[in-house]
Amino acid sequence: MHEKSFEPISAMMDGEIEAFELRRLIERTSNDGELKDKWGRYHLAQDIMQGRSVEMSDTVDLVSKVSAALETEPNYRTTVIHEVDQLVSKERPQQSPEEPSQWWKPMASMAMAASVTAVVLLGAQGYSTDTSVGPTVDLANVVKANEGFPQGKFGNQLSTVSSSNSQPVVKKMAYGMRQYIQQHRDLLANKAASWQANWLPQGFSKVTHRVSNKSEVLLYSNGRATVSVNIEPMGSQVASQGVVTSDNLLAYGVSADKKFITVVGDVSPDVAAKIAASVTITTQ
Amino acid sequence: MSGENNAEIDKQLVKRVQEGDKRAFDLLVGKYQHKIIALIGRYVYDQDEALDISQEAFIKAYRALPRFRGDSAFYTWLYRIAINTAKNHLVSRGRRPPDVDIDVADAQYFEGENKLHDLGSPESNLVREEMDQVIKKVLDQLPVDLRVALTLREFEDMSYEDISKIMDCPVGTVRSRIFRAREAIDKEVSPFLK
Repeated sequence: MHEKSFEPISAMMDGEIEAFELRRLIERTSNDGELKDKWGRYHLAQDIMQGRSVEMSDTVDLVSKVSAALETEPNYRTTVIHEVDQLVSKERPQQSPEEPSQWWKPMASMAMAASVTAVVLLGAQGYSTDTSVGPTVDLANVVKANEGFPQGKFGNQLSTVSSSNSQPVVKKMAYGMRQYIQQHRDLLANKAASWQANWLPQGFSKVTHRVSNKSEVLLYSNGRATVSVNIEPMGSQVASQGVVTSDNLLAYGVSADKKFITVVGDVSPDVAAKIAASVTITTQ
Repeated sequence: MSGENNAEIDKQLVKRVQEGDKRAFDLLVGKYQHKIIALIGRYVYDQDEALDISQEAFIKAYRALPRFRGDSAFYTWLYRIAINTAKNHLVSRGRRPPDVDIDVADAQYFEGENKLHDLGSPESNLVREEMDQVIKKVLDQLPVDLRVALTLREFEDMSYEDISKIMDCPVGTVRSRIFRAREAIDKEVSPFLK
């Protein structure tokens, strides 16, 4: 490769590059291992010159490893969903071709939609107006043309499944969707609480509980304040032990007997610790 | 980090990823991998373990990127993710994470109150010291216009435009000089990484 072609990499490091050049360079770099290596080495030399702490090893190549690990992750574009509710659709008046489809809802409504309808995911129509990133899909035409369920794949690819199939099939789950399916199953299961807090501040009583396959959440209230107690197997928690406050709420996490207990509420750390210490398996 | 331009390029790369260009994330990984591994190396002393945790931290960062709003610099945000990933890793293995977090400014620098250079592997420290010497030697031997341009950029954090005024030359010339200086250094640095 001619030396000159690395010059934009150097300029990009310094933030001295125009947006169009940046876009072109990212595309070039993604397909060129030599450019990627150059980018990494320029930064390494810069870090050393400026006295920063760096790990030096000829075996360090996180770029390839992370890139491979992210192969199955979705690209972040606005993902749209297709709500499939056949009962409703039968009663829905026919749309004129000019009328924009009302079936497509933004990602923000996904949680609600997942609980009541099947969802089908499409990677299309991003926040970005940059059409150079990849092909976009005319969703209305897709629906019209297929009269079936657009079927989600990562990225911008689309395939369809016949409408004669009464159960929409999602080939691949978008990242984070499994939790909604699990939540739905958990709600249906309506399991009894297997844990209880044996000490609570005066006036508090249990309002509700939620049991999932991994954790159990108990919500207590005295009519004004609320306290939730989350119990999960040790190792599955995402936090370390300790106390964090946010606005009026305090979260207190502690491990005990192979479980991790988190108490959240507008209570003091002492009260939260006392509640957590009182958690036992229910005797019912 | 070196100033607004550095943060700006991160911001642009983050924006690209958020807009759907996953490949732009490779550039962020390439830029920060050595720093993040060094940071995590302060929590776990085994290099393979540090590499695994670093990889996990970058993957978590990618997954969390839609929620990154740029209230802080990308590196500060990435640094927090890396620290939390390292601490969770220790807890999940029944090891106690340190009570006091490492400050982001301390974490970046080789020398400092925490004597970071004592924590790297001996091989890593040796290679680093050798590279440090090589870079200093190359800098000394560079033609003066290249050395001045690179020095003003790397140590004074000056924009190309400011450097062009000081050196009384067009911005394009500054860009070219800095690039040629980096290439001269890279020519000597790359054998250490093969």
